[in-house]
Order: sequence, then C-alpha cells, then structure tokens
Amino acid sequence: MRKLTAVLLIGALGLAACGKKNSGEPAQQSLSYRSSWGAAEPQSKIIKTIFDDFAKETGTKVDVKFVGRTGNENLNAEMASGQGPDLFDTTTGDIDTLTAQQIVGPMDDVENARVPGEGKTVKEVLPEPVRRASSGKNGLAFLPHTIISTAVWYNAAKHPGLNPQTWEEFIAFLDESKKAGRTPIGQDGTIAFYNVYWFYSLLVGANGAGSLAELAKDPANWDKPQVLDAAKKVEQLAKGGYFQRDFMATKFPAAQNAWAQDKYDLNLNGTWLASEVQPQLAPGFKVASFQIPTGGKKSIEVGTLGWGVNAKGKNVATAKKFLAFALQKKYMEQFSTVALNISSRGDVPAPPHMADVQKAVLEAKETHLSYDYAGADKTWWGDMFLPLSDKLLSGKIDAATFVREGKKRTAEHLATG
Amino acid sequence: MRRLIGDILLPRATAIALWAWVAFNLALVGWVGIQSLKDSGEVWLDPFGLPKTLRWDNFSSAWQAAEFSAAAMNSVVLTLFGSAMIVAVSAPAAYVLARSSRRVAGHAINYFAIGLSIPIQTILVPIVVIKLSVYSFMEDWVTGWWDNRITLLVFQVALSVPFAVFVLTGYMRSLPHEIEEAAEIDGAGPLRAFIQVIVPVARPGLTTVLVLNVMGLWNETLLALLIAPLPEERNLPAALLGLYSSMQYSSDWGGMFAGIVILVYPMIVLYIWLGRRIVDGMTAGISR
Amino acid sequence: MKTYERAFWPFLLPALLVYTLLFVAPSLFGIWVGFTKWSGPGSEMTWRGLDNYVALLHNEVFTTAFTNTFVMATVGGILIFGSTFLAMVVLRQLKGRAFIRAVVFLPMVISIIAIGAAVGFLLNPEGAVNTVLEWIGLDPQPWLGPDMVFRCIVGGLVWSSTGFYVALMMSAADAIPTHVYEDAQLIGATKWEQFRHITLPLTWDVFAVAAVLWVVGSLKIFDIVLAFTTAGTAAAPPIPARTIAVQQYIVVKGAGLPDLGSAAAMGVMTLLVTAVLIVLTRRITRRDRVELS
Repeated sequence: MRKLTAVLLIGALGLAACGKKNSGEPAQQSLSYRSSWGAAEPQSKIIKTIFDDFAKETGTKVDVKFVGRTGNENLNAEMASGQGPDLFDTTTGDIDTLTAQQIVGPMDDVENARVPGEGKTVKEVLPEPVRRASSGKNGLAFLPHTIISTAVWYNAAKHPGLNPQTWEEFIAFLDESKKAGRTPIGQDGTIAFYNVYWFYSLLVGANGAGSLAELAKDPANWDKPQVLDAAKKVEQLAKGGYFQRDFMATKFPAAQNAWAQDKYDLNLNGTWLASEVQPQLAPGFKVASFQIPTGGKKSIEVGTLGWGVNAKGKNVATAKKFLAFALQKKYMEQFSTVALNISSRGDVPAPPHMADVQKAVLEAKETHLSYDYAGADKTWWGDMFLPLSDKLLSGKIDAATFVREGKKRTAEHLATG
Repeated sequence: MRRLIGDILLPRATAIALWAWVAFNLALVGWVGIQSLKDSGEVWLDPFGLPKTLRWDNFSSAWQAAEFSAAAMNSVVLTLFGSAMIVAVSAPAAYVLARSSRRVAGHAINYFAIGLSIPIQTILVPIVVIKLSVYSFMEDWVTGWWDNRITLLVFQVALSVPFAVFVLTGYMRSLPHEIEEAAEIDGAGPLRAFIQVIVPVARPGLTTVLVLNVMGLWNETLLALLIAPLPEERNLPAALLGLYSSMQYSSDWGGMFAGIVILVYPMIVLYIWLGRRIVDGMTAGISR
Repeated sequence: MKTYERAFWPFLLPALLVYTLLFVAPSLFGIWVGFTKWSGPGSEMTWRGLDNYVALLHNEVFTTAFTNTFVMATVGGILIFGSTFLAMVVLRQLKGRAFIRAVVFLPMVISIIAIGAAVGFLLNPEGAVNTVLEWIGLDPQPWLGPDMVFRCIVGGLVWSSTGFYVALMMSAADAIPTHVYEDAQLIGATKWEQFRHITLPLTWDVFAVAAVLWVVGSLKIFDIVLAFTTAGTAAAPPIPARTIAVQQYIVVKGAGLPDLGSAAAMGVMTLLVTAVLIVLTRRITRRDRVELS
C-alpha cells in the first residue's frame, strides 16, 4: 500500500514537472463498443459478425464487449465525463437523457451517408416511423437496428385467427377461457414496467401520443375522462381474475415461460417475446399476436433499439462510418432471421409470426413512442407512477382511487421537484 | 414444569429445528447440482426430477457466456491482495495504538472508530466520482492507461481499514507486555522486531481479520458493480449477476445453474477442506 | 525508548493516510454533494442547500426504503440472535454438533446472488415451496408478491447470516470450562438455566461485538434484495423490498440523468441511522464484565 501511495505521488509529481497531456494519435484506426446484450444472446452474435467484417474491410482495430443488462450501470456517467466506448446500445426512451448529457451529437452526416454497396442513403433505407422513434430534438439520435412494439401474444395453433376488435370481444374471450378452466392471461407481475403495459396501451392506444406523458406534467390532466376510462378497464381485468394465481408474486420470467408452455392463453409483451422464450416453446406452438382493442385512434407503439455514437468519444468519425456499414441488408436480415425480431429496415421482412406487427407499425396512421415517453421524469415514473399502476393492476385500489391518487401525487411531486 | 420446558421441550425443539436447517442447506446444494445437469426445459418443468440425459455442456456454455475464467482470476487476486494489504496496513498501526501511552493514540483510536459507523452509502457517490476522475486523470496525464480494478482494490482496502484497526487494537492490548522485552534486548529495528516477535504471537488475531476480509471481499457486489463492471474486470458475484441476466433473457436455465455450481462448489470444497480452521481462526481473535 | 514509541508514526501513518484520504475525505465530499444538484463529472454542480433532504423526506419510496433498512437491522437482528441463543442452548452437547456448526455456516461462503437465482424457482407461485404446501394441505402463498417479499428477504437474511453468529458465539462458549456446567447440573439447573446463567453471561462481550458487527453489516444490505427480486433484468426491485442501499444504487445508475446530490443525501441519512443504532446497541449490551472466579 505504501508503495502504491508512493507510485501515485511520484506520478502526480511527474505530471507537475512535465504537464504534458497524453494524446498520442493512434497509428491505426480503432473503434470500441460496449454492449448491453449478453454474450449468449443471438443479437451479440450478429453484432460480432458485423464488427469482424468491418475490421476486415477497413483495417480498423475493434474492441467489442458484451456486458449484458447488468454491468453498464455507469455507462452514461462515464461517457458524460469523456470516457467510455465509441459505440453503445440505446433505445427510444433514453434519447432525452443522452441529449441532455451531450453524449449524443448531431447525426445528419450519418443520415446522408450511403449504405455500402447499395447506393441508397441511410435516410432512404429507414422508414419514417423508425426514424422518428430514433430521433430527439436535434434530429436522429442513434442508428436503429430493431423495431420494438407491444402486442398481445397467443398460440395460433390453439386459437387460430384470434383478433378481438372491441374491448367487449376481448373480455368475452377472457371469460370464455376462464369458463373453460384455462388461465386467460399470464403476467410477470414483479416487473412493474410490464404491468403498466395494460394501462398505458389502453390510454395511449385510444388517445394517441402524449396522452400518458401529459399526466406527469400537469395534475389537471388526470381529470380527463379518458384516464378514468382506461383505468376502469384495467380495474375490470384485475377484478375479473383473468391473471394467473398470485401473479404479482411471479418472478420474471416464470409467467412468460409458462405461457410458452401453453399454460396461459395470452401474454402482453414486447416483440422480443418469441425470441426470449424460444427454448421453452411447447411443441407445435405457433406464436401470433393482436393489438389490444383500444378503440379511438388505434395508435401503434413504435420504439427502436440501436447503436449510439458517443459524441465525446475518441473515434466519432469511425463510429459513424460503422453505422452506415452495419445497416447493410445482409446484416439487418439477421436481426429478423436469427434474432427473431423486427429489423429496422423497411425492406427486410419480419419473422412470419410478426409480419402483421411490422405491417401495423409501418402503415399506422397514428403512432406513439415506447411508454409514450412518460419515463422522462424518472422520479415521477419510477417512484410514483409505476407503484400506483401496480396497485391498480393487482386490484388493491380501484380506478377512481387510482385517478385521485395520481392527481394528488403528481401535484405533490411537481411542487417538491 | 420448569424442567419439562427448560430441559426437554426447548432443547428437543431446537435440536429438531437445527437438523431441519442442516437438511435444508444440504438439499439446496445438492439440488442446484442436479439442476445444472438438466436441459432448460427440464429445469423448468420438472424441478425435482433427475436429469434424463446429463448435460455437461451447460458448464462450457456458462463458462464462456460469463467469462468466468477472467472473473475467477479477478476475484482471487482482488481478495488475496486486498486482504493481505488490509492486514499489512492495519496491524502495525493497531500495534502502536494498543501500546503507546501518548495522548494522540487515544484520539487516533476514536478517529478510526468513527469509520466503523460510516456506512458504504455515505461514500458511494464520491467513489463513483473518484473512479471516473482517476481514470481520466491517469489516462490523459500520467500513464496513458488505467485499470478500474486498481481503483476497486484501493477502495476495498481503504474501506476495511477502520474495522481491522479496531479489532486488532483490542486484540493487541490483550497480549502480554513481556513479549517486546526479548526484542528490546536483541536491539532489533522496529520493523524487524514487529515481524519477528509481535506477528507470531498475534497470529490468531491477524488470522481472524484476514479471514473476515477474505469472506467480505470474495462476496463484494455493490462496489464491484459500480467500479469495475466490465466483463474482463468484474469479480465472480458480478459475473454471476451478468450470467443470470443473459440466461434469463435466453431462457438457458441449465446454463444458469451450471454457473451457480461453478461459483459455489469450489467455495464449498475449500470450506470442507479448511473447515474448522476457517471458523476457529476467524473467531479466535474476536472471542478473546 | 520503547520500540512502539520509536515506531509510532511510521507504523501509524500508512493506515492513517489511507483511511483519511480514501475514506474520511471522500465521505466529507459526499456530505458536500448532498447539498447540491449534480449528475457527475462533466456536468454542472448547483447548490441546493437542504432541498435534497426535504425532497427525500417527502418521497414515499425513500421513506419506505429507510424504514425497511431500519426494520432489517432491528427485526433481523432479533431473529438472528434469538436463533443463535437457542442454538447455543443445545449445541454444547448435541450429537453431531461439529457437523451442524459447519453446515449452518455454509450459506456464508455461498454468493447470495446464487441463492437468489435458486429462490425464484422455490418461491414462485407455482414453485417448489407452494407445491409442498399443497401436498400437506396448506394454502399456497404469494411469497414474492408486494405484501410478502420483504418478509421473505428478512427470512433469507436470517437464514444466511445466523450461521456466522452461531460460529462466533459458540467458539466463545467453547472456552468455558466444563466443570462449571457439571457443577450446575449437580444443583439441578436445566439446560435453559445453564445457558441463561452460565453461557450467556460469559459470552456477553463477544455478543456485544457481534451485535455491532450485525448493525453495521445490515445497513448495507443490497445484493440479497436484488437476488430475491429483479436480479438480471432491467427492472428496479419492487418498492416494498427496497433498502437504502438499493434505492441509492437505482438513483446512481439511473435510467435518466443520475441525481448524485440526492443519492449522497441518502448516504448522509444512513450515516445518522447507523450512529443511532450503534449507540443503542452499545447501550443495550453494556454492563460489567463477568469473570470466572
């Protein structure tokens, strides 16, 4: 220890003596990427291939790390202080934070870059709703590779063509399933941001973008009848006993795995569901989906996952070059065929079970972003709204209490700021 | 009545509870081992059955996915170096504090005792900030590189020093004063006298502190996640958390249990091997 | 001059410097950050005075985490030492006592994350524990649901920590000469009375140290909460299960702009709880030393 202290001291002295910043230009182009995908997930295998090809074709030295969901806790702080990788994974919901921390910069040059070997620009390859879901107030914030959306998932082998058009039809299906002795809905109730899907999808689906986000901004917005209406529908689900027993105590991913085993009829989840439960799927299971029948505007959720460029990083230009390179069709196809997700390119067909979701996203008249961007005020979202939504879905409070409490606490939150 | 409760009911019930507890611990360890050899579907559908075929490949997939070899190396190095440094720094200080009659020694003891009551939460934010700043500073101005594992090691040591000094000071006080006299006559320098005379006598206390720190550092999670979270720098608990996460998302449950076995079984073997020596060594200092 | 007087400063200085520079100074810096609004190096720091504290006291999530931490330290402590004392009543003579002591200590050497991963399988609504309950005709319970998860975590904590304190206290009890117990048996003392009047008084000093150890350790409880709830997912652990350390971790790692000022303020408040609990523990365990005559 004493030695280490001495080394540190000498180091500091040496610095005082020469005061020269280490900024040797590397002889070779280099590029670093830190991923939130785990090494075992199919996405990382695809991404690894792209980086390997990029390294081979451009002679760039690449440094790729697959960290997984835990382990990137400090990433934003690191990048904000001028460290961290050149490329990182990000998603629609993070754009505002990244912009505020000045981690992402303008990407016009990427939008106008040509995708190698295809003669089209990045902008031309990405459909408009996809670009919108990947943009902040300064335009494109990151380059998306995957479209995500939310739907109700079921086994088409057992319920061919299930697609209730109204809330009543939906409830009728649930009742019928219950009467037949089945469990209508499987819900991983310990994950609050899955529980909130019900209220959020019902409210925003019917009333369009902004109808959830506005609840965080002004307590008066809670008084709109549409809020109570969506809450009442959730209350109906909670009181109806449609979820599996003790669903609020179900540790993820027990419910979605049991759903894949045909124990429950429905699961409200993201487009990544089929990929996650692949090894658990019962024989003959045909994954299919429908949108929750919300009525009203029938807005469709569009979110994206993709790569952000660390604007404070050391190799911004190379990183941007990589983005255009990665958008080649041969790579983007793999996000569909291998990772079983919807690729961000409009000209890459989604996996068969999600063809309708892709169509809905690309042709929707009304779209909204993931969680309607209501998570922007994270204290409101995480400490107040999600817990309240949990209480509503678990049947602890009714719709009227939900609205009253929401209004009251939003006012309190805004007051203490 | 008094005899019935105090001599029969209470002891009997406690004994039964203790054996149930023992059975549960053993069953859990065995069950994890069996689960690690099943395929993912079986783990989920038939948690109490025996595996139909033994899936040894779970172990290789877990090992690769979690980059356990790097993590194991990190854990071993961080734990051994860390605990050795803690004792090396604390023992001499505790010795002079326990012996000296200077007024300042009493103040210093109290000053270290304050550290005992500072929870890790108080220092968490500064640590994150320092970690980032040290990295930038070293990379930009001094060495041109930095490794967060060094930061982790340094903080693990610094955070453990107050407790080590506290326990060792109490322990050294209980040592007989005569032991120094041999060294005094010998005319040896302070450091030599300390190493040759004091350390051998104080061994039980030093072992206690060492073992307590080895266990603490081996299971360190919060600091490791915040300071050194990357695959090549993280320790075993952080790596297991990472594996847990990626296996949940890819539903590779057999692989997850294999990861648990890789992490837990060596510790159990080590524990059986060193067995009582760990526990005795650990408690000898405190209970003196 | 005595060796230890000559070597006083050279021996003391390394520990003093490490402790002051890397522990005390950062703590003071943390207290400072607690009065500001700051999202880390590279962003601007603005003075907020006591606002962080006011906001925290109004934040129901934080107060829950605060209460939980307090309950864990006290209730968990009572359960752990209660079980330890019970074990001490019988462990002195029981057949296979060395084996029992070894196996109950086992959870200490196992990573709590590993335990948590197995727990999901055991405590899920359709999991093993409920299956067993149904076999013996009892109602299955929502163990990991909002109402019970915290109790399960305290249970897990007691399960994994008690072995350590049993080992600690028993090794102190081992030092008591057997003839003391033989004398007690002659005058007809029950096992409980032997514990109450011999073992406990003679191991009380170790208990005092162990109690402080527990209090300090219990306040940084973190990984067991993650392990029992959302470990490995991007979701934050449910609010009824959070401790201060967990809440702080959530704020520091932040999905949005990290609010380091608020996180640092939480640290200062934990410091206050720790101080209060240590003083309380010392007061409860303080008494005159008992010596065997």
